[in-house]
Amino acid sequence: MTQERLIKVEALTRVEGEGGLFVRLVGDRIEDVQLTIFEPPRLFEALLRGRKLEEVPDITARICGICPVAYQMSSVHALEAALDIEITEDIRRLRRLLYCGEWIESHALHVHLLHAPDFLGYDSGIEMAKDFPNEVNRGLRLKKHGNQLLEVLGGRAIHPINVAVGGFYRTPRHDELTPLIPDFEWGLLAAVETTRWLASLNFPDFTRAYDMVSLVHPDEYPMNEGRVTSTTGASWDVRDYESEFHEEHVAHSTALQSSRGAPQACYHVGPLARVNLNRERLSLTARRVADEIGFETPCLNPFRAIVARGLEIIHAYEEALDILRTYRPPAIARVKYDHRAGQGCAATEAPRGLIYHRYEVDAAGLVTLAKIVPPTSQNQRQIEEDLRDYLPRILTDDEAATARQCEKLVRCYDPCISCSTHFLKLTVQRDG
Amino acid sequence: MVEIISVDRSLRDRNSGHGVTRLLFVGLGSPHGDDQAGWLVASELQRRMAGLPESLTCRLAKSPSDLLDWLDDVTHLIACDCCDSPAQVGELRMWHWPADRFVRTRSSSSHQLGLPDVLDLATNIGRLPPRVEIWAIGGGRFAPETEPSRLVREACQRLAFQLWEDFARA
Repeated sequence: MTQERLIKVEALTRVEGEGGLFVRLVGDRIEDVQLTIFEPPRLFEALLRGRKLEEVPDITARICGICPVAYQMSSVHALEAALDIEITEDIRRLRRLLYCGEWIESHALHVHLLHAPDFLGYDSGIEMAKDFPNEVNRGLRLKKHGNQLLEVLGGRAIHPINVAVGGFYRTPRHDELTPLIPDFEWGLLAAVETTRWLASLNFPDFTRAYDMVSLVHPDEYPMNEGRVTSTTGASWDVRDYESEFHEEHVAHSTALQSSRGAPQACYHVGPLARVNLNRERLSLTARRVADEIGFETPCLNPFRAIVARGLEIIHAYEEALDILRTYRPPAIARVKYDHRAGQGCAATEAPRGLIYHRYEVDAAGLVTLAKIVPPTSQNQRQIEEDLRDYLPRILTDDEAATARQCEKLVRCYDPCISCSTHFLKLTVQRDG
Repeated sequence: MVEIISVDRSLRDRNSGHGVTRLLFVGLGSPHGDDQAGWLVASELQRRMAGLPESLTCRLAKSPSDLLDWLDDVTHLIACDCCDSPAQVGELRMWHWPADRFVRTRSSSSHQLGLPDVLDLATNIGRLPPRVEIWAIGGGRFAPETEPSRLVREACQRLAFQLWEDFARA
């Protein structure tokens, strides 16, 4: 009789939010793989309906404590599209600076405390710090720089409150931003060291024929705008996103799962997709380091996403320094606008990947429809497909070891399910 | 087992130290009911800062991980927070870290570190001050955006005053 085995990770650790993993095997044949997301729905889209559009950036920032900028900025861009607002170049640069801050703090936390322990054989970043104090110290300092930038530009490091439709409520004075320059000069060098260290880790030999998707902009590394582009060569205007990309509800997840095309297929968003599609638009130092460490693109090994994050930390520091060194307070903090009925959408790049927002507003400036597609829902199905492919390589009779290997693969995507409690409990059921 | 000692004994212990002390007091809290306890103590100490030595820094924090940004050159850390149980409402408790055994609870988030985790991390990266004390004030109600209870407010005043007296004498 063929034995059925269930491998369950009741709650994934070192990921953002509440999710688990369920694998059902018959013998060595994989029958089912589910990334289970059981965190209660947070219903932000319904919450936004009927609210003044000016409230939206502050509400959407509350979706995530690690990547609030991506949420609030996507909503701001979409609302500006709905109202046909054109922002100034000065405001645009400040917004990119805000993104740099978020990428630095989010990536620095992930690579040093959440993901690197996987490659070095530790159960936590705290444990890893005993043997790698310099690396962890460096990571904490990098994260602090990102937070400092968010505090100056956004009013506070978590859930910033200074982002407005049309610009900012207040732009920083010159003497508020320029004192950050010495720290960011140190941070750029430290980010290079971090990336060299990350590139020296041992990565599992696992590649897949991914369809990777990110924004592509002709002149810059994508953060806040661009065309939605696939490594297959296809690309779409953001306004066509919903005709190509679909969301569906599956029973084992309270988050919608995304797919694209017909037949609907999974796809991969995140830093690896961005670097693969935009390598030549990385900053000069990031490109040099990518060459030095032999980071070949397209890179189709999901475990090397940690190196892509390192390259993006370098890029974020270098772009931030460029903006900080040339900063002059904008003539106006935000562009004036009139309310009118309309709809608009936007896609930006959160640390974890592409994020899409669409809003409809009425003539009184109230939101009548909101649609938000976060990166993790787009990666969910891809993660399941990865696990289906990866499991035969790592499957042993030791379910705990198998579960740990699965978790490592899941963490490559830095899933942001939401901020909440976690614990790891492995349940193995053997039948027959 | 957690050791429960009096405020007086804690102050005597502190006064027996030698050498130059750079002292950091951090009040941890949130705006939710009795969880403001750490902030209340820190605010009261800040209000009285004029009479305190320059080597004392007093801060309010929302997250224990904020501590990691402030530990450079600190030789003596005092962290103060509200605790839910087993302390009675308004009761003061003190632990020496890492000598006293400390009851740990599971972290509520993978991206936020609790105070014991932060102190462990500080130890492992070589940034833990030589002396660390943790003060806890028993709390009972934590409803969002509510005022702290009378017993907790009184306990905060009592602790702040006694710490201030001690700092002023140092």
